[in-house]
Amino acid sequence: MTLRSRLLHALRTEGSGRSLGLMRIAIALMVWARFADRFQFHPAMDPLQAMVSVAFYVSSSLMLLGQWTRFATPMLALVLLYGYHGLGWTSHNMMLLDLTVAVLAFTPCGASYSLDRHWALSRAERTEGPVPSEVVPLWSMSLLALLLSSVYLSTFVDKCNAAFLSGRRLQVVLAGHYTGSDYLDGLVWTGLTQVLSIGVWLVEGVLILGLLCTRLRVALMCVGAFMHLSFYTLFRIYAFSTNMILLYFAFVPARRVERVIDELCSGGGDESGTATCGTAPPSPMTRRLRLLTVSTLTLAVLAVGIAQRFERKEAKLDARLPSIALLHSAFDDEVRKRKQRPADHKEREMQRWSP
Amino acid sequence: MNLHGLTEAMTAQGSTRQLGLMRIALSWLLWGSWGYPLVLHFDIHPERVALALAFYVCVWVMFLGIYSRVFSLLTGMVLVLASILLGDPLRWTIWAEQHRQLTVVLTLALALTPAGTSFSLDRWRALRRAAARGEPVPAEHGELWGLWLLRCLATAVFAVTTLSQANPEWLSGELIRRTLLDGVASEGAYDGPWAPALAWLILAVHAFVTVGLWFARTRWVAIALGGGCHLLLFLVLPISTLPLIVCWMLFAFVPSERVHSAIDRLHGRQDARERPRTIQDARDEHPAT
Repeated sequence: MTLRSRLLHALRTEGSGRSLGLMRIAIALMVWARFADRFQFHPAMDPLQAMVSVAFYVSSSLMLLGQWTRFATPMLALVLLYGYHGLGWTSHNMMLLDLTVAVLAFTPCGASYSLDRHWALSRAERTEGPVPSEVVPLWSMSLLALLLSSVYLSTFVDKCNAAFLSGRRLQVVLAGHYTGSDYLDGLVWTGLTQVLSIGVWLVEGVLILGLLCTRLRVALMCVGAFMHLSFYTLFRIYAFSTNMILLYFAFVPARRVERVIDELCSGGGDESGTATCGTAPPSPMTRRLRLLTVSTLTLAVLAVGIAQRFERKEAKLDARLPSIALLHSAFDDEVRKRKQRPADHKEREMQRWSP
Repeated sequence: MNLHGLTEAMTAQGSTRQLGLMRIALSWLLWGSWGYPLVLHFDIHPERVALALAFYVCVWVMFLGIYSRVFSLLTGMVLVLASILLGDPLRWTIWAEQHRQLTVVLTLALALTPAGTSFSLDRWRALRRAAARGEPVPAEHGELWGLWLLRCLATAVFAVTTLSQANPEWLSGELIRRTLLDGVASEGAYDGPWAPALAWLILAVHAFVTVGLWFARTRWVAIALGGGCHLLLFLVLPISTLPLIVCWMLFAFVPSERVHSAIDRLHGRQDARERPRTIQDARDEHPAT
């Protein structure tokens, strides 16, 4: 197959919209996790900010539910790009999320698992027409795949220098997150950081085009997912890891996703809610035990809740509903304080070198 | 519902798709609530590193649906241990938040349900096993008394909220006003009669939801009102993932057979009512390529 015919094939491909539907839901939830508290309403807001907040909540909710996705997704992308350029939210993880939503706006992501589909089915039922198909043009899936590859390409190129490949940049990152002004010196640490740096550089290099290779895809996805989850637990990168792992979905053939879902949902039995699996009815003793468990746990939750209510009466009011933003800033302050503790650091050094 | 009805609920069986979806959603909520505070760079004491890694592994496995009951239980226990073992002020900061307390209780309760029977790797393996042995496809059915437990817990939470709000301090609107003033506005910014009105409205909604969820006629209104009210509160109050957890709890009140048929309908199965779909149907539609 020539390159031209491959390209034409990619542009004309049609298939199930289920993978796009699942990606839409996951990305909308990720956008909420990363941005929702930043768009909350408060009296210090100017009218433009209030309008942007309204646009954010409306578009992200519509995108999550799958209502008018062709309108909601580009609108959300515009709001997030405004956040990037207008409000200075220039973190790399935010930028990736912005771009993912922007690219998703080109896809028919509302064809499955959406209110749009629900209305289409209702219309078909009313008119007694055929069930609307979930088959959609999939050329835009290639854009998501291209986005993932371009991220790996840029990170790979960015790491092509002696500072990274010698492990020094990783040492700076580790110092920023863990050791303050101390570098992890010594032969073992230097060697380890160099090996890890070269390993990450190689993996990212392979992942630029490696995911296109059908035979290697699953293995590479596992390696990539492990790398990103490690980054998540070790460094302050927020939604970047989950976003990258989610983009792997663009490389999974839509036909495969549809088949897996169909197989998982096969043999579901009837709708009446009665068992078709032949499970024996529980004995009276089991029934009583279950009832006891349900009532004990419910009463426990009630009792704990009421007890907390009386305990909190004396507590400070502002401690009742602390925001996640405040929590994050508290953690960041704590980290900053630890890094700016020269006295402690000196003491530790003295203890270390004292006989 | 009388006592006889409750006893019958302990023997209920039905579709497990709803619980499968709830398992996936709860693992996301756990990640959202606990994921960031447990990242390693805040503190690398050995016990904290062990707890954090255990949490990440358990939540990931729970999301994928491998031995879901065991890993739901383990996740809940890890979080309880984290709340006990982590030193102050981190322990207090983490545990003091209501949405985190709720996720722990709900995770432990989910361990008592067959949440891994649908949308899970366990089901995928069961399908493969059945196909290899030539046995019939395992049904997505299970015992639903755990779902009733989740419903009771949700009701208890709403009842406690109603009780805790039925006092002059809350009903005067002072608590809402001070929460809103917390860090974002100056004194006087929220003056006016709307704060007491909002406080009364929230109390009325919680009271209605506590009772209304248990009656077929008012169930859908209670679900819409409870979910909508908490999602709207998120716009102005710093309540983190609490609205989504409330929506999760309200989802437990949707009849499981409705969820089952809605998924079938979205998949375009018009014949769902007449004939259960088999794995062979799926394979006929998608021949291996």
